[in-house]
Amino acid sequence: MRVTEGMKYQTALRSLGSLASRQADAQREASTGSRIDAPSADPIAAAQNARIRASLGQVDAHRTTVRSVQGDVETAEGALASAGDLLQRAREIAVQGSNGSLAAADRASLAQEVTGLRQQLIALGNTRGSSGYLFAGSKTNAAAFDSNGNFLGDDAAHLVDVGGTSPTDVSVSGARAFTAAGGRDIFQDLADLATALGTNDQAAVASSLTNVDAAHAQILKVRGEAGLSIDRLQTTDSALESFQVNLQKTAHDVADADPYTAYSALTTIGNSLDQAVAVTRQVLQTSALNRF
Amino acid sequence: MSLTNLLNTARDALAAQTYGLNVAGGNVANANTPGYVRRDAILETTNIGTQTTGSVDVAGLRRATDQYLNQRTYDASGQSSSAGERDQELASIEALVSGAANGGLGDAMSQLFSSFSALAANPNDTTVRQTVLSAASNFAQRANDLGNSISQQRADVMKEAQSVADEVNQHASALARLNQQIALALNAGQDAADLQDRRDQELAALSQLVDTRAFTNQAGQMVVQVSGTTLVEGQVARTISVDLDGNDRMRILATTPGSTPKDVTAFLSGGRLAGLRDARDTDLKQVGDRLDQFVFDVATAVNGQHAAGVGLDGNGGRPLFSISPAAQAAARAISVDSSIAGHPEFVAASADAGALPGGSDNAVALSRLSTFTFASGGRTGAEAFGDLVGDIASRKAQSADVFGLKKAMEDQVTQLKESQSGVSLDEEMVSLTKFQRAFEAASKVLQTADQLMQELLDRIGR
Repeated sequence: MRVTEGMKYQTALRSLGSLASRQADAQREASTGSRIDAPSADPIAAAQNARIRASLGQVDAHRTTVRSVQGDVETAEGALASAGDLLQRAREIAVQGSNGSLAAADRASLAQEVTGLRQQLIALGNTRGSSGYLFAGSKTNAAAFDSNGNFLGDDAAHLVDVGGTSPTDVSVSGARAFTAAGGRDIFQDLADLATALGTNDQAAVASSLTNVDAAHAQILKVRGEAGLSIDRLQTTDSALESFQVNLQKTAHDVADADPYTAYSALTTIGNSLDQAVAVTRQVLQTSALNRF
Repeated sequence: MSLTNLLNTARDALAAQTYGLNVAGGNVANANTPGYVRRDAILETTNIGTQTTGSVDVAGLRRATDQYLNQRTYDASGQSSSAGERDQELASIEALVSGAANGGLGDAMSQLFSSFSALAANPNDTTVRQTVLSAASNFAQRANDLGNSISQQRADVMKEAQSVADEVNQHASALARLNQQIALALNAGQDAADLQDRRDQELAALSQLVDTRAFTNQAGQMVVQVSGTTLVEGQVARTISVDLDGNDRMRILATTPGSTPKDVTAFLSGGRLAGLRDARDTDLKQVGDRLDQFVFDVATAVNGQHAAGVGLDGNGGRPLFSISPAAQAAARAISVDSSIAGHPEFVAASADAGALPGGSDNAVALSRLSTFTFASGGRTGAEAFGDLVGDIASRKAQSADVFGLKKAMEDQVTQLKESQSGVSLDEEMVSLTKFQRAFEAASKVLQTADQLMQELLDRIGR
């Protein structure tokens, strides 16, 4: 084959050019730390990366939801704990009031205390959380109980999406904790107790003890459910967290350049480029021109 | 045989070797001239009658070129330009989608679903409701941006194709003019090598724009065909033009003066024009359609679920997005529905008007859409978006591979052509020496003839 000057220059240009462009790629990979700076560098990884980003966004949203509802459930649980204490006190009063040796005036003052407890309990029933009245079911924008203890809310579930195969109910039912929907209408029971004490009806006080016991158990039952709900949210959050960590790890595995490979590639190409320049100089100097 | 003859022979030899030196000098001078084809001096012995006098005559130049190799160069450069153009167009769409994959449309979609999840946690919070509307508006905006960019790029490609067609027409008239000048020069017995170099260069430039075939017809005229139709025949040039057919596809028309334009799109097989056509009507079209389908699927699924719930006013049936009934142009047309824009209270978090304002079941259903396979092909939204990114990435990777291959083939043919037509300085050094020595020898012949003549004259004169 006839070799001309033009061919030598073209070959030199091409090989140096292609090495320079490979060097630029290696440099970018080493400095950005990303293997798929352009999606075409690895189409499968690029698609996978897009999906992982979406999953990460979803997990993030679920964790935000967990954090945002967890506070409310904890507040509700705390309110029910206080309600349980109030009913415990009401039970003690009932026991005290059913003692036959108690004077009418003492019963009357106990009745007053029960009325006070009832008011406190109504206030607890109207506890507010980040999204309104916690015990009002779906009617979060209005108080769950009026001043007479009448329930104005409903027993609707509060569903949230925190992943998993079905929605999670994070409601703490005011209906089942305080009203007849849970078995006992607690405010009525306390009102009855106050009336019995006020009218100095020892037998009625004694018989209301059973109701107050039942009411106490009812509050504790719903409080237990709220506690379970908190546990479940915490478990969900830690599951989501480990999922998130795994996803982030996968995202790194998919998209990140291995720094050792990247730097060694950069060095190798740098060396090749040096060699190519040396060879090119040699080739271009070799000419009969210098010998004539 | 006479001494005078010897003198004449010496004269012819000096002239011929000088011509050879001139040709070699010209080759050296043009060693780096693009498109220059190496020349050889053609020297012949001269005859008078039946006798060979031994003298030399300059018969002209030979351009070291080959029509078949030239044709291979045109084919290879057409293929390589076509692949290069397509690769370049895909690179810009890749950059757009790469932006979309990292913080654009993909993130906008997950933010939309996240906002539904937050809505379920706090269905009666105006800020949260406003976030849903902002996320929806952001999703629509990102889809608009990407859809418009693709559509803008298709329009740009069309303009570029039109300017390529203009360039083709300029080359066509240049070729017709050169054909005329070459015919004139040859008729006048002149050497047309420079004009032929220029014609080859015009053809090389043309072959980068559109697939080019050049040959000489029976009448001895050069015929240039592009896209299967004759563009130049001897001294007559025709024109091509580019427009859109009824189906919004690029169309190449060839016009002979005085007749109706002929559609030659089907024969277009190379050059930048083919690359532009492929990029516009295949790649950008399919990517755009896929984006439209994706946006349409997301919006339709969200709208369906949203309409199933009720706003805080107790009324339902409102779509979240305004979208055309078919997927076509969905990405460019999508927006937040005017009935809900600016009214966060109309966001339908609850499925039941009786459970207002705390009901969150519809918000949960909207949030859970992100795990449903609502997109065409039985894919979730995230999967469909990943597929879209993967599709463009594969196209770009494939087009880069094809371009690399075609470029290598072009380089190889260019090397062959350079090997045949290029100037080798070593070779010219040898040529120069060869003619120089021959020139010196011819001078010696002249001197010898002169001395013999002198001696003869001296003797006669004595």
